[in-house]
Formats: sequence, structure tokens, C-alpha cells
Amino acid sequence: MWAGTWHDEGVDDRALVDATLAGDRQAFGLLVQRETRTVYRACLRILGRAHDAEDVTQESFVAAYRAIGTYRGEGSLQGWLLRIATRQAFRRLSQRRPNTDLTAVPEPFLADSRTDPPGVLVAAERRDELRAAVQALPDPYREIVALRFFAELSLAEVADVTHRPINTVKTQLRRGLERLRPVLGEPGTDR
Amino acid sequence: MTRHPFDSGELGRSDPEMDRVGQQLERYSAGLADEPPVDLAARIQASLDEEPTPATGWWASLLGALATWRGPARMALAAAVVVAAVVAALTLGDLADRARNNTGATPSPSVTITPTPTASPTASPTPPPSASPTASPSLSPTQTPTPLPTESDHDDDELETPEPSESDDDNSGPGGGGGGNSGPGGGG
Repeated sequence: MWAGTWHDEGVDDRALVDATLAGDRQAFGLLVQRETRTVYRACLRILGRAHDAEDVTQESFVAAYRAIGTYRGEGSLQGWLLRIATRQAFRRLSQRRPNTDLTAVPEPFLADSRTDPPGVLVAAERRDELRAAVQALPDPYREIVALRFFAELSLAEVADVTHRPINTVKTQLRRGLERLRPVLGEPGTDR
Repeated sequence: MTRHPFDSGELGRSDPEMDRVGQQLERYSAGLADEPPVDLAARIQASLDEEPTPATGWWASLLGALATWRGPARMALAAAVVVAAVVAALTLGDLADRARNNTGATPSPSVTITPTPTASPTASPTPPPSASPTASPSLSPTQTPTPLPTESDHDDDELETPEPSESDDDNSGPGGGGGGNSGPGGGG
């Protein structure tokens, strides 16, 4: 039902949106196929748990589908989608208690944990600290930092999707990083 | 690795401390670059199959906002939207009612003249047009003409309400206003 004529990787965002609004579900299906990995990774970095990231990725696509009529073509459709996803992820993060979850630890660290179990716990705690520090940032710094580092958007892309001048984005990112410096910027915190 | 490696120079000036923070964030992100489950896209598409065709315009904005709110917050937002719609309808009805009252008040000078014909037959039937402004205070000072120039707008309104009930033209104004009030009330 979703397979069909939309298979061109270079298809224009605006054409996808227009086709979706015209009732062509295959058009949005292409967007799902194209962006699921990017959205999932951004959610995983914010949430730290795979199953939460899956849920929020799905919710983000549904929210984007419902609101796609509001996409004005300012910035890429991917950036617009990532902004929705980061907001949804932070909302989900704010609804749960912070704790250490070993499922959040990536495979390389799990491999190390076979020889150094305490090490992986420290790494997991460190990641929790990083997530908590970013989550504790006030808006707009939190959103800018998340879009720049977790969603891996460039400054220009962040400026596009947030409808802010790029110099404003630069200032907000600098202030956000300055606020993170006490937690992340200490020389002994590199891992 | 990361699509856009961070360099504090992109923020306007190089700062080693800023670079360190950026590298921490990049390292963290690189460590969480797992592939999603292979069936995730299919699950997303299955959930989208249940969705109606997306809306456009302001309605899309409203639905989009509702879609991002969840649980009690979503219910509260929906309730707020309904309350706002009802208040807007009532306000519009009230404004329409006031507009009708105002348009009914503008002919009030002509309504105040209407007693003058009632007085003129008793006083002097022969000069009806010229006697209307001057004769009315002199003929019956205790009657209705004396309060009319001195009374405030509120009293004009009080006088207007019974007067239109006597004439068909003005009866349609406030009477229609009452109907206007019932309209939004019924709609709400």
C-alpha cells in the first residue's frame, strides 16, 4: 500500500509535501523510509533508551504527518521533522525519572564491559549526566544544542528550521555550550 | 562520523573550552549511532495508515499543536479551544446585539419626535411641521419632552425600549437583537 511510484532519493521536499496533502500516502511513505534512521538516532541520543527512541520516532512521524500542512518550505523537510522529533523526545524525557539504564550503552561499551563491568557503569552514568545536562538547559539553548549535536544539523540548517537568524543561532549555541562547560568541559571528563 | 564536525570558530571565535564541550557532545552522539530496528519504518507506516489525510491552513496548525500535546495537557488544550470557540461565538453575538442596539439608537431623535405629533393634535392641529421642536416644551412641560433633552444616554435607552414597542420599525431592532442573542446561545 505504501510501495509505489515514490522511490527517487532526490525528490523535492515540496513535491513530497504537496503530494501528501493531496492524499498520496506513498509520498509520505518515502519520507518515512528516507528519514527513519536520522530521526531514530536523534531520539536515541536524547532519550538514551532504544525502545523509547522507537516510540518517539513513531510519534514524531505521526505528528509530522498530521501537521505537514504547516510546513512552509523554510529549511529542509528533514530539519523540520528533526525539530518535531527533538521536541517530542525532550517531552518524553521530562516525563520519566532519571536513572542509569544499561540498554543505553552502545555496543562497543558493552564489549568492554565484559572485561570491565564497573567501567561500563561509569560510562553509562557519564552519558546520563550529559543527557541530564542538556535536558536541564533552558530553551532555546537546549533545542539549539540538540539540533546541532544530536540531530547533526549544521548551523545554517538549525537557523532555517527554527526560523532564526544565523547569528542568533550562533549566540544561542555559544551560550548553551557555556552552560554545559561546568559539566562537560572539564579536562578529566573526556571519555 | 558526524555530518558537520563542530569547530568553535563557526561561532565567531575559537575557544578551546568550547571545542572540548563540542567534542564531548560529538563523541556522545557518535556512540549512539545505532541503526533502528528493521521493522520500525513498517510500523510507522502502519500507524500512518490509520491517519486521515492531513489538513491544511490554520486547521492544520491547530491539529499539529494538538498532536504534540499528550494526556491531560492535550485534554486541557482541547477544552481550552472549545471554551475559546464558545466565548468567541458569544462575543460575536453580543457585538451583533450591540450593533443592532446602536443602529436602533441612532434613529432615537426621530423617535423622540414621534411624541410631538401626539402632542400637536391636542395643541395646534394647523401648524404641524413648525410646531414640533418649539411647541413641545411649552405645551406640556411635565410630559415626555422635558426629560428628553436633559436625560443621559442611559435614560434614552430606557425611553427607547418602550417606544419601539409601539412602532413597527423600531420594534424590529431590539427585538431582532433578542433573537440575535438566542442564536449564539442556541449554537453554544
